[in-house]
Amino acid sequence: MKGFIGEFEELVLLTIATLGDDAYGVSIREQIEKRANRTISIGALHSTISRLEDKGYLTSFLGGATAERGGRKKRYFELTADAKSALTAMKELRESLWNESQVNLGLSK
Amino acid sequence: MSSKPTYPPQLAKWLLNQFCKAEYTEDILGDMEEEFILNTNEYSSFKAKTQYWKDSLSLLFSYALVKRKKNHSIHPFSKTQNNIPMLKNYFKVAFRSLKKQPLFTIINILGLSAGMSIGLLFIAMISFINTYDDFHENKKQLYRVVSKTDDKVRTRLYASAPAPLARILKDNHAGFGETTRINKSLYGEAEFLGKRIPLNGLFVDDNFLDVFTFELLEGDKSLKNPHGILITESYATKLFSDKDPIGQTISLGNMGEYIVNGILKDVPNNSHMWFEALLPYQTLINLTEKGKIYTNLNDWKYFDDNYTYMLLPEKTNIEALSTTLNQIGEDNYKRIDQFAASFKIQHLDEVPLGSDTRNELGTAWGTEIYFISVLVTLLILLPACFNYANISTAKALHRAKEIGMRKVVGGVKKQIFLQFLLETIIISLISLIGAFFIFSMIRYEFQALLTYGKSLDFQITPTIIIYAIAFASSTGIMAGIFPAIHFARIKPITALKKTAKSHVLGKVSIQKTLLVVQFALSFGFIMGVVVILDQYRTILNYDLGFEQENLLDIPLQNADSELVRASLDKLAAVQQVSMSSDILGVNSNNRIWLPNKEDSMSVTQMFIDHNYLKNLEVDLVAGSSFEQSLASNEQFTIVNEDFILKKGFSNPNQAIGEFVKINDSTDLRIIGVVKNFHFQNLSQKIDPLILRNNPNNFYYANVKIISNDVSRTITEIELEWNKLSDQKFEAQFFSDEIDEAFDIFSTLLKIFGFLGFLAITVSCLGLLGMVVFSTQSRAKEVGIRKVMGAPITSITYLLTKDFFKLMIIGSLISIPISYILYSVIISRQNVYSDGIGIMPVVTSLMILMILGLLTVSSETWKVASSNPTDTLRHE
Repeated sequence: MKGFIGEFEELVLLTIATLGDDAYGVSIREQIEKRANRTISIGALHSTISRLEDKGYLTSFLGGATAERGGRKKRYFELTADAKSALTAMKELRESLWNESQVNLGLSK
Repeated sequence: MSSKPTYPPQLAKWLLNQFCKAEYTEDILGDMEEEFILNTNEYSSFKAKTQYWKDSLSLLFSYALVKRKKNHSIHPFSKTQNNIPMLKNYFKVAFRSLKKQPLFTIINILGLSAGMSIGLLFIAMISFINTYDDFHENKKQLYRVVSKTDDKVRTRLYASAPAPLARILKDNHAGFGETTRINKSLYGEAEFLGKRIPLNGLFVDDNFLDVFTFELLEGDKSLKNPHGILITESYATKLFSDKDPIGQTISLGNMGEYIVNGILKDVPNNSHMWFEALLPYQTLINLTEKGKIYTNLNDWKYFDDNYTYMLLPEKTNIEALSTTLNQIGEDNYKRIDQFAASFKIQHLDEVPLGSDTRNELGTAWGTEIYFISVLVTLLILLPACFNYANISTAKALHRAKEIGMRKVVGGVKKQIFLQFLLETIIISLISLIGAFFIFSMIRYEFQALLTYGKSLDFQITPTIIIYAIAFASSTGIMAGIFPAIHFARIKPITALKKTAKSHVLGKVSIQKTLLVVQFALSFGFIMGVVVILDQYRTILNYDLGFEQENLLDIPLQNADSELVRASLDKLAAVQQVSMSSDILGVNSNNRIWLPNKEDSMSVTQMFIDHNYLKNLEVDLVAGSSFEQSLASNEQFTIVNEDFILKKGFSNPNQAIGEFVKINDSTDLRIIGVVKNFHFQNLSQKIDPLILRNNPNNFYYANVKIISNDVSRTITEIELEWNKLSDQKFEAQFFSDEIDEAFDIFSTLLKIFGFLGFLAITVSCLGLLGMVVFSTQSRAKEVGIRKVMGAPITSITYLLTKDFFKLMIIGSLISIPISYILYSVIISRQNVYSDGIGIMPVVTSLMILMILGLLTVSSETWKVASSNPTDTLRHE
């Protein structure tokens, strides 16, 4: 294992996964804001992304120049195989915990 | 909601740009801007701006930015950079560019080698001095007692301490380890089976060899037997040749006879004390009691000859010792009127350097050696560094494309800077080889110039090599820092468009300034050599007031003066024989104090016979000389004019018949007054002189010879000598001795000559480099001018005049400074000098101009006479 994945880090990784080819700074932030209803600054997001890169869960590449945003390039992020297996392991762990839960966790009913 | 386009707040944007200057944060800045546009569409422009501010501030300190900066900065151990291939590339490019410009490379290497060789000399010297006394096993605990005296007129620092001090320390203040006394009045001649060899040694306490580490080769090292002597190996070889020295008896003149008890290994060069023999301290006490040796072991005011060394146990309370020493000082000096002294201990480490004490036991270098060595090194090395800086910034055009390319593919300033610095360091390391070569050629010459040169060792040791490499690297940094900054600043676009200027002699450039400084320095050195040569010539032709030709001085060496005179007078070639106690100007510095009620006076005293003044053709202004063999001569004296003047007589005749009080029991009557003459070298003013007559004090015969065959005459004299004495015949011409003794400028001349030669060579090399470069870059212009009909001379003039101007400016700055500096030096060395005068200035200016113009025009003429078709076809 390349290190522990925090809750917010997991969120960022999954968001990047949902965004597919269009995962860059602004879009990731917007997604998180929309889905999780959490406001985060660009700086905080990029810091988390940098940590994830350090841990080897993310790679990035620069896209082409864009007309908006002052002609500046976008940096796109991708999950690595490590990230995928880590996320899977995490999901399995959660599912088994859910399944074996003795308390009724369902809110409906 | 406003419909007009809004922009992010300028200040925040600028701040961000400052922090994220490089391109590697482009995406983050883009994100920020996109965010902002989205926000302006959604909220008010104020809110968007506030958000932008918030975001940018949080970004400034975010991990994202810190991380990216770290990844992109270049530092030696950066893991994210692949440094090795880059370094390889730097080396490769450095060697290629050195090879491509062989002339400039050679100029730079020659200059730096010359400059660094001087630095190496001082490195070798100082690092050797730093090993002083390292061979003593107890070095860490070894101290000596130094004294500071105050006689109400001035304070003095002595390396020595009065003899009673050690006894008091030993007897009354135990607990401070071993105290050992040393007295250096052991000198004279040792005799063994008719062979006599001068001996220099020390009287030492019997614990001396336990305190200090001087290895015993054979025999007994206890210094208990007052008739036993220890001698060094090389002295033993000199005196005994092949015989076994142990147990032999040697005679030390009136000090008596001693048995050789042991042989010591020679005192290493890096010992601050030096001796050929050791005698027990008890012997000294016995000898002084019998009056066989003059030294003083009881007087608290006697600071000569006596030294006190201490071997302190570990964890000694140094402060307690200091207090004890102070107390001893106070107790013993309160009885003495008008005099005080205090004592201090000094670690052996501080002895060779940085103590500046008088009356040293051996070699001491003083602190100024650091200052002098740094100054002299810089004087030669800086011009060499200037050369490098000048030539390489001028060459910028050749490298501009490379730098442009490097920057375009991602090289940052820091990398370019490091690359060029590395290149300079490579050059200086190559030059270091040359410097070692020059160093090995000049080291012995240099050693011979130094007063204490013999106690040095200029071997190349690993330590020196390490220092030398560090020195070369720092030279490289010194020479390379300006060009490296210059190159790092080049803008890639201008560099690639070939518009980067090569800056040769722009308006007021660093290059111009450096050239001016070089010329000023060169002028200073040239003037030094010229001035000293001029003074040297003046001194050689100076009228010293006496005749020195055809006089042969023969040391009497215990032969009877009257017998020598009688036998030499028989020879036809000998015109006249006189006797004297000293050789005038060479060792005639026997000063005595004449006591007087009001003012005591220091006079130089010399013993002469009745022929002496005639032989030297010194005229009497009043009275008469000594009569031949008159017993009452001993009560007479002849004085010089200065003596009369200082004594307050208005004219010489008045002084005749007056008495001079020599000491309480002796009064001498003045029978004659001689004209002033220089009985000391010219760095001293003519002082009062008294001439006395007493055959017991004659040590030299002065023989005036008139002969066409001098060598035959000398052989005849030697034959006569051999009948009288079993000593070896020695003789020297007075004029030679005088030349040697008055030769106060020859060392200076050698030093200035050598340094001047180096400085001028370095400067001329640099000048040549600049000229070659500037003319090459103006080749096309020259071509066009020639096509338009300009003659070679006017083109040469055009190319030369800029340099000529710089030479003039440099000289003008240097003239007043050099003039004042050399005036001071000259007036110290020769109080009878007329000053420098205008001629040396003009001569040095001419020399500099001729050298400079030759260097410059050799190149400019070549370019000016080149065929314009060759240069214009270049494109």
